[in-house]
Amino acid sequence: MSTVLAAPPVGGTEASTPIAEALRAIWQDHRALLRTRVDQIGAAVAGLSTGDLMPGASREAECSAHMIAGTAGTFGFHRASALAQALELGLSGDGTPDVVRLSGLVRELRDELELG
Amino acid sequence: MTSRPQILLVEDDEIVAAIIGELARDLAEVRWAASAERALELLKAADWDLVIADVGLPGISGIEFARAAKRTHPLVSVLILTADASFRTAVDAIRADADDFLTKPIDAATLPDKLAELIAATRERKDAQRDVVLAIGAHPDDVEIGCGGILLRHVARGDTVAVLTLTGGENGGSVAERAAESRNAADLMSARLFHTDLADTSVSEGGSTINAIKAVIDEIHPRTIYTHTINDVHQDHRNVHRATLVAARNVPRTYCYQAPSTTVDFRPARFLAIDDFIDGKLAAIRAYSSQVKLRRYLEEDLLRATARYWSRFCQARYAEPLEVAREGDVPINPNPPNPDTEELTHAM
Repeated sequence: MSTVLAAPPVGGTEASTPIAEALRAIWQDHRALLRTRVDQIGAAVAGLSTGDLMPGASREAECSAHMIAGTAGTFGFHRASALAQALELGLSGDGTPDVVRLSGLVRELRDELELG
Repeated sequence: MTSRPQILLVEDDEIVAAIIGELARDLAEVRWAASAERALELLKAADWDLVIADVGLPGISGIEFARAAKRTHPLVSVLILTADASFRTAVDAIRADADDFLTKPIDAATLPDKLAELIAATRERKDAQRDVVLAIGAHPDDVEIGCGGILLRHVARGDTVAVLTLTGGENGGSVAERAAESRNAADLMSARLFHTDLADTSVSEGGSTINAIKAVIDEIHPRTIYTHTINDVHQDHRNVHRATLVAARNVPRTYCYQAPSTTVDFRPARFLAIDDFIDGKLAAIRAYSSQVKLRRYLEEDLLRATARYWSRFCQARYAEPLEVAREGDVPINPNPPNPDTEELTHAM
């Protein structure tokens, strides 16, 4: 499973400022890592739905969601940040996770990051 | 201080670390640690201007790390980063004495100003605390033996350190060689060296010695002075002690260090830990190679054992002892106002 991540909108900064340029460069440099994080969340949610989740995978996915929530907004992907936060919350809950809802959130997160 | 600011960043997400590193690039050098455990090791490695700690770290939390950083580096600004903007996290940050609190995602447009503001606050606090220190010795190597570790400790906290050596030590070797050794030792300690040519073994307690010391005091305006103890069998050491008390009468703090010729009457009341500086002290003493070859009191195991012995009076492994000649917290005004004149002025 892989996604192609779009160029960031670098919201809140003028498109041609040095800060915007720097953020774009960081985004390019870390695209693969972000993709891995999204895929990790997707795999954990898929594991939840089939009941064959690897030990520790849910915790790792929660951590990945936490990191995306903390970074995507800086690049202007504010909705992606909110979606990742919702995924973090959903994966960390004590009760039975709502797998259908989480799967939808993963799809939306991937779309958000693709479309920018 | 004009050196480039130093930021220690503790953050387990390499993307956030890259963002902060990039946004701070024009302001400071950023050293990144991915865990609080690693950052605790790095805390000792530089004179930091800002510590940035993410709350959610693996192992020791960012809040615990911030608390530890403030305990050991109280002048350094600490900025807490968190994805959790809850009241609870804010309270934890305040309790850890953090200077500021930022929630993620970071606002890239405002972060550089925030960092600059916190760095400036650290530097203001450090400037207010910075001391000017003068260590006075009768002969080359006296100061390094007596308080070399303490001087290095001053340098490490950003104080300005000067060494005044009053004689060339001509009775103990070549003046030129000993002068070169003094310069090397001062360089090793990052100290400024003043070297005068009073006569070795004939240093007086009077005018010439007082004037030599006073000239340096007038030039650098020290607030802390280290000099020989009076409890010493060497006449030069005793006379430098007496002359210092006269010349430094307006300097708020004067302490007395020991020498190999100090008597059993030396009664220190202040013990300063030099654990991190014992090796630097020994290196400075080794710079006096002409003396190290001749003087048994310069043998490294004796110097180390002496510092080890004094550590029993403080929580350290190595320490240097000082007698307190005078300890005030403000410079002594050499021309205090006359109360009679004051009253007259007010009456007018």
